[in-house]
Amino acid sequence: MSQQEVITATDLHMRFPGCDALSGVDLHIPSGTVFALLGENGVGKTTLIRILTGFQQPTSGSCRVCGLDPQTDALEIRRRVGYVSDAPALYDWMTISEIGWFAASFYPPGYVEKFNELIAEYELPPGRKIKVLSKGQRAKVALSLALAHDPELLILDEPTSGLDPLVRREFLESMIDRASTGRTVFLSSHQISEVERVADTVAILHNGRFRLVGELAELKDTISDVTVNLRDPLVSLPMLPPPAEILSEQTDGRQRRLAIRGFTDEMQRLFAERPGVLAIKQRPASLEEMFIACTRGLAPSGDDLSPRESPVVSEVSR
Amino acid sequence: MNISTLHPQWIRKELRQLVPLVLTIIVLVLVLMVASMLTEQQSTISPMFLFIAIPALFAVGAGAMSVSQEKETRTLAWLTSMPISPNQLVWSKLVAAIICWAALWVLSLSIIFILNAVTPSLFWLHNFNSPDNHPIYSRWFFYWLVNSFYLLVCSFATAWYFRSTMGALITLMILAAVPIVLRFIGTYIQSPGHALNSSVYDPKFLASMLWLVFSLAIVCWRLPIISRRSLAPVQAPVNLNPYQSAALDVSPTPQTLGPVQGQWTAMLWQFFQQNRTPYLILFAIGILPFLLATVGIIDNTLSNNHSSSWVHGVFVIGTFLATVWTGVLVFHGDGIHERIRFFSDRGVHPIKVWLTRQAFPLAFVCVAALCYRVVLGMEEKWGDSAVSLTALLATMVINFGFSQWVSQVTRNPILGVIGAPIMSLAAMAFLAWAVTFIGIPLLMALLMLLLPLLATLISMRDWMDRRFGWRYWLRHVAFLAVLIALPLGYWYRVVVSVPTMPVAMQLEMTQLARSLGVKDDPDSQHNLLPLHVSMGWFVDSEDLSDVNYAPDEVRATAESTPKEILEGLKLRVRVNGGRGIDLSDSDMLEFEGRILLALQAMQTDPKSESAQQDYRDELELLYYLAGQLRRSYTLICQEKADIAEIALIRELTRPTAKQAIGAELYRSIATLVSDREARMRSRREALAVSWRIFDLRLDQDRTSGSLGGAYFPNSRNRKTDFGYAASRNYNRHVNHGAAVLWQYLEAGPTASREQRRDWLARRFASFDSDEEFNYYQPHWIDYPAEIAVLYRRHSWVGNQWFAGWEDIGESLRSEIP
Repeated sequence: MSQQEVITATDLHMRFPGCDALSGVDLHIPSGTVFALLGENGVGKTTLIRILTGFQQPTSGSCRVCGLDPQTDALEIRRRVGYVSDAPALYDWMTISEIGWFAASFYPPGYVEKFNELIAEYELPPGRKIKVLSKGQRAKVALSLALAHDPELLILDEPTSGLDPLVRREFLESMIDRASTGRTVFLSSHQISEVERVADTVAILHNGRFRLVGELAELKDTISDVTVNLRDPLVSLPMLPPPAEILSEQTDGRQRRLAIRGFTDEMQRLFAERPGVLAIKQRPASLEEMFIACTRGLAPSGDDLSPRESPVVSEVSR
Repeated sequence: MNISTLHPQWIRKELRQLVPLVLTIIVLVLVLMVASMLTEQQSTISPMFLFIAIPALFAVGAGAMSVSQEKETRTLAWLTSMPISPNQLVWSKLVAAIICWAALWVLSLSIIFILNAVTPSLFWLHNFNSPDNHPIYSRWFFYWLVNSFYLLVCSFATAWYFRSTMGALITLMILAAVPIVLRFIGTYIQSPGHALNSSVYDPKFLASMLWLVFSLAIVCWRLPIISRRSLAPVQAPVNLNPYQSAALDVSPTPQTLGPVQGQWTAMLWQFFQQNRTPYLILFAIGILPFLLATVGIIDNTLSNNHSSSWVHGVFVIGTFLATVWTGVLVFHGDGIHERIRFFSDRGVHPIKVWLTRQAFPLAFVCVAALCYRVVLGMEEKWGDSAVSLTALLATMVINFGFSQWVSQVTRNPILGVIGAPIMSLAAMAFLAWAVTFIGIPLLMALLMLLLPLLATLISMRDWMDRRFGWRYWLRHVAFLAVLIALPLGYWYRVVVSVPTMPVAMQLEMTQLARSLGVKDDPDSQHNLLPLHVSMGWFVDSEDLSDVNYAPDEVRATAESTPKEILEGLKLRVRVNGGRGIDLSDSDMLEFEGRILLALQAMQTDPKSESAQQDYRDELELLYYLAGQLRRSYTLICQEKADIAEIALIRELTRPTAKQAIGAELYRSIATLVSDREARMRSRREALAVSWRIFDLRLDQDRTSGSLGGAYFPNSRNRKTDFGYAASRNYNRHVNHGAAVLWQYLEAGPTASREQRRDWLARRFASFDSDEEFNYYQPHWIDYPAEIAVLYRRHSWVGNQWFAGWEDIGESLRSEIP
């Protein structure tokens, strides 16, 4: 493990009866990064977080968080990281200030002061009981509790659900500030457009594997959204030379849309010279397009091909 | 409300929701039934009637399961958003519960009647032959029927009224007591001034039924109002202070205004604040019987009447429920909405969390035990050692320990609250069985007491992380298995592992004993028992009158001559019958010592006729004793006969014996001591009869000297000084000893000295130390002439069998003219 890496995971597998949540996940997150984990519902994002925080024992594979093994040092990891789960557990009979005062006893001095600053920032009434708070307010309390001890790693599982757009934007931008001070943020979210604004690195989890992982800027540079106008929908396109990779393909009438990693001008010329190709349009893919490409329109990738996808793939490959 | 307008699918949904409760209660009642069967058969309640408790227990939990659970999981809000009227919602829940309740009554009664017809003896139903006290055939059955319905309606009323399950269930317990309290108050107003335990205040069927129906009517009237109010739209709280803008805000607790506390303090504060209200109610439930017990006991003491059963009943039930629910609350509050994850998300150590959950409740239980002991100590009946502080504390810790275990295991708080009392009762029955029946040692009982606490401590990490995988359940099952296996393992170690007598040998010995006149009735063996002979050498006349309780005993004083003693003995034997005689060890030594004194007197004055006559008389007396001892079927008498014969051989082998003793007496004695076959036969018969009489005796009559008076040292038995296991252990040990001796009788004559030593070493099952082992080893007397005085250690059963003296005795046959 590199000294700067806050999270490393090697070949993580997690099998549940009837489903494989993770099937060989490798992960390396350096410090000072905002890492975004994207994926559909039930794809294994929370399972991965639970493994990293020691709540779940993986079927196989290894991982380290802040240099510690979650299986043996889970308690120490949880003390050092700030963790906000998808349904944060709060003592709802306490008031906001009480829960801050209470949580402060588990952390070094200065916690209460920082917590009070945060709840003031979020405009939370300190004397109000948590049980009467709205969903968004509860989320704000959970975030304040996780941030107040200034953890070296912040793990957030769907942290912004319930927050209003303004607070959501402010919160996510504050994550960039955290990263700039060397802290690391691990973010699991569905809000792709918002994640796109703050994340340095993204990973898209699908069928238990990372379909895409890398720095967001680099991914944007390498993945293109290619639209090809065809004379006939049955026209086949030429096979792309490695390392180019078709992530997705969608045919809509006489228009074919592809998400291609490593699409070069040479390849564009190759497409254009193909008989039956009328026009080609290329632009960098957005994160949302990458997400959809990875989760819906699957390109061939070894053993996870479904029978439905094969004919399309074979056609492209020809 | 028209019932026909209820949707069947709603009723089905409600019934489905009640299924876990029904199944849990049936399983728990079966567990309780098994546990109660472990207790004494003299119990006044047949375990089969626990089936009657099924509908009542269901009634207690139905409201919470149907309504409170939906409130806590917030599904009730979703239900109210459906196109169904509040009335239909309320009634569909109630109707489903009534259907279940009725079905459970039918099921319970069917089981009872079937078991009653098939196996009445198994459930000791014969105790209830009288219709007046039979739980089903008496009219009180209708009271229980109506009472369980009253509980059902109350459970719904409290469930609709309270937001929390615990609040609803605790209030239900108070409501359950209302008809009884009303009946008592009504009777007291009619007939005041009697002692509280007077029979005037005993429950009468008509009055009890009247108050019950009255209470039921009130609750039925209030139920629709309460439920409608609960389902009505939530109104904003009215702020009485117009200057306070934020009505939802509350003042912080004084502690939180201060500096940040340490982890321990903060966590104790959190636990206390979280459970403040339920503990306050439980405290009230606990304090009420405490006060009642105090008043009742004082009242009983003043009225000089100690049969205050109702006071003890209220006291026991109140204390029990308060303790059990105190235990349930240990994990209950943190389990709601998975609040405990607050700690686990922050990496708080599970042991720290566990300790802070247990500290207050356990301290409360200990203080309560102390207080109750003080109150019980005021009454004479309870003031004895039977209700010691330790026993009371142990009982309360069992209840507390098992309840907190149940509350950690059951994720559904309702099942926890209902299951905990039943499991605690079952645990108490099991532990009582383990202590009194098996007789487990104190340390093991203590371990069993602590096991539930240990189980929750070890499982705390997984419980906090909400990891309820197979490992979590397996761990709990393992603890349960250990709890059950501990007494059974002890039983195995103390009883089953101890060798015993083979069945074939038992039959052989029984046959021989029967042929000798042993009947199968343990109390009809008097004619086979020996006559006890006592020498009162050091007893003065005054003491002698005090010990005259045994008219059959032959007594002699220091002034008695051997002739007088002998004549008295012969007369007694003729009059009293029996089989042979028995002597105490000290008397045995006295008789044997008298010969030495007479011999000394004769040697001092060889010409004295009277000294010679005395010597002969003493020898004649010992000869008579030896013969009678040998006749006895009591095993230990055979050993004493050996000692007597050894002393006689010693005298016969003196150089001038024939002259000193006289030819006739010499011949008689030589005939006795040389008859090896007769001696063997007597030993064999005595062993068979002694063992058979021992085998026929009840456990409590099998004292350490029961095998024909023979003592069997057994260190294991000393460690297990009470309980059924101790008696089983002793029985097996004695049986084993008898079996070894029986085999030794066959193998001994041809065995080598070393082999005989091995045989005798196997007589006793175990020893504490080598020193003890050596103490019980055979001290064979091979040359009687060399021994001055014979000691008791020479007469451990079998010690003198086949020793050298027998050969010397046999060699005297040649001296017989």
